[in-house]
Amino acid sequence: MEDLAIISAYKERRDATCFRLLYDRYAAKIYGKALTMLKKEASAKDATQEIFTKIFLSLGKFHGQSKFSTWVYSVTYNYCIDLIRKEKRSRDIFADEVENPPDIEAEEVPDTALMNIKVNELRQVLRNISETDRRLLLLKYKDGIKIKEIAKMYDKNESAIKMQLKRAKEKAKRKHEELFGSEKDE
Amino acid sequence: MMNSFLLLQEQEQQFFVKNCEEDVRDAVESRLKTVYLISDILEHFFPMLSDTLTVMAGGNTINPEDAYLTDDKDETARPTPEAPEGE
Repeated sequence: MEDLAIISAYKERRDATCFRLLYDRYAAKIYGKALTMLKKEASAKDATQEIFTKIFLSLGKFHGQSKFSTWVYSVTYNYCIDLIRKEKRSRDIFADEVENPPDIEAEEVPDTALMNIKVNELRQVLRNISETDRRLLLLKYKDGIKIKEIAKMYDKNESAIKMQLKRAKEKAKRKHEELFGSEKDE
Repeated sequence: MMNSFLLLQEQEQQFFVKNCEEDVRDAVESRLKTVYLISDILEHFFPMLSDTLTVMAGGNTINPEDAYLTDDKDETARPTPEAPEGE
């Protein structure tokens, strides 16, 4: 059954089955995206609850102009960004870049270099880099958000995001080598 | 070989399904029920409440019409049948 059909049935009858169908389809994905943004599991759980309530109370505003999933994810990211802004953490997003400009000469780390790390090692690496870098890497490679969208999300231009992402990849690769040694050397 | 970021995503989603899915669902459902209940009560009693306040302020209540015309009852809304040919 398609999302739109479930939504219109829910709007008509506020049927619990429709609620559960949509919930089962999107809850875990929303949680994953909230975790990317908020880092802590408890915060991501609370955010999922708030976002779902918000989505169901605003279903009247959704008229199917875009895909339901697109609308749901934009509500999710907007909610998380608002939350981060309230906690005054987002203003630090580029502080690191200003203080310590990126090394332009550094060799670009290929995407596959990070994607092929073992998942437990990746988890460790992400725990040991800055929150900004962690969030950018996860938005790009875990959630599959385009650079253009990330730039819009943070109200920055695309080249600033590309540069920040390049640095984040370098740092993550370096951290991986530091923690686990370079596999190429073995 | 699978992308480790996607594996991470899969593990996070499995964690949610295993540990939080039901709690969050119950919380959202109960919150929605409360909101709907309050909005239904307001929708039902608001006209009565506004009439009461109007009367208390010295005004008159709006007397609703006994019967409202609907499309079915409104003769002008019906297309007039055409006379059959040959008559």
